[in-house]
Amino acid sequence: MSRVQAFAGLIANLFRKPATVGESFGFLADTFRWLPRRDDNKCTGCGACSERCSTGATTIKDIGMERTVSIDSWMCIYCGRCADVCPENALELNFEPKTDEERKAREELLARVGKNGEACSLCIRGLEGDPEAANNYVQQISLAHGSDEPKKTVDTTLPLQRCSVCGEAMPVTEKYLDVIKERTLKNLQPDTAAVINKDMERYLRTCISCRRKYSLEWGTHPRKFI
Amino acid sequence: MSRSPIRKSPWIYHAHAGGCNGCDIELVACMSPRYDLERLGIKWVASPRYADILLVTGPVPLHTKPFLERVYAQTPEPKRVIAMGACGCSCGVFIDDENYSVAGPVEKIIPVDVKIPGCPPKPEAIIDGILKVMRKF
Repeated sequence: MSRVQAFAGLIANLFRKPATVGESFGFLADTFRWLPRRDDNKCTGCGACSERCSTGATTIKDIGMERTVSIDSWMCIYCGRCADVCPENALELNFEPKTDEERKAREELLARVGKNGEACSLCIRGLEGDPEAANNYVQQISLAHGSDEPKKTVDTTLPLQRCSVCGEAMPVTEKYLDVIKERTLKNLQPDTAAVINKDMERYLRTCISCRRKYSLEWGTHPRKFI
Repeated sequence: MSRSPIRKSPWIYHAHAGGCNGCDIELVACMSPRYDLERLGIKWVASPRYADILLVTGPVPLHTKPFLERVYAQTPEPKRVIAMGACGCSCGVFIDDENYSVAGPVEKIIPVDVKIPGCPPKPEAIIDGILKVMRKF
């Protein structure tokens, strides 16, 4: 029996396609992890990712009135800790389509390109007739290729908060304070929130030294908010 | 494009400089039937004296540094160097000012032409990197 099976396998192998992938490469698996992509609209610049980064690839720099959050492609090891810790879920490491629209777009692209990938990032021969599909494909796959190009970084730039009293840059972004305020007020009763709103606005948007100076005068001692 | 002295078949010497073996396993995957590198004429050699391209993996510990320098000196001209993996590019997880045992990324020790980022890089990225270094000859 086993001999017959072996022989059948032998014959079947004669007609099988070679296992070697073509000169062009197929799609990356959806679960394959690569350089994190950051959603600029969601990122608040809180800095949780840079604190958690295992290699120091994610850095935060405050220059002038701007904060830049960047990920260095040469250092990143795609461990995904930044994505785990991000409170806004702004980071993604894989290509998994999340929404129905994305899923549909991917299926369309696959239908055009072919699942085994006639297209390739080195030479887009398979997509010469379809510039739009080629563009999509290259955008999707370009992160995974590319070697001698200069260092790639994933950057987000956000404006820093100005102190409402002295006018100097505070080490937090405007957006982060907005998010904090919104969340704190959401947890309070509406009438309490209305009372606290103004004090909190002033308290949050003032730098630490100015807070110390004016907290007694304003009646916004930090303990009020703990 | 300028005429390169090596037009067809680069011979590659893989110098393992203290990596975790992840990159090396990906290199083995490159030579296996699925991504078969030899069909492109790329060959792994056992000695740097035959090699055209040096492929270095790992963060280069202090102990390995003299050997890497020697391997680089033994490779005949014209030669090119590829640094592979997050460790090869920037020391990866070993990047630390207080780390007493690492001599820094490959770039600090020998000149590097192409870097292949990734931890470990996909075989596609490795093939891409090798094809790119061919254009630099």
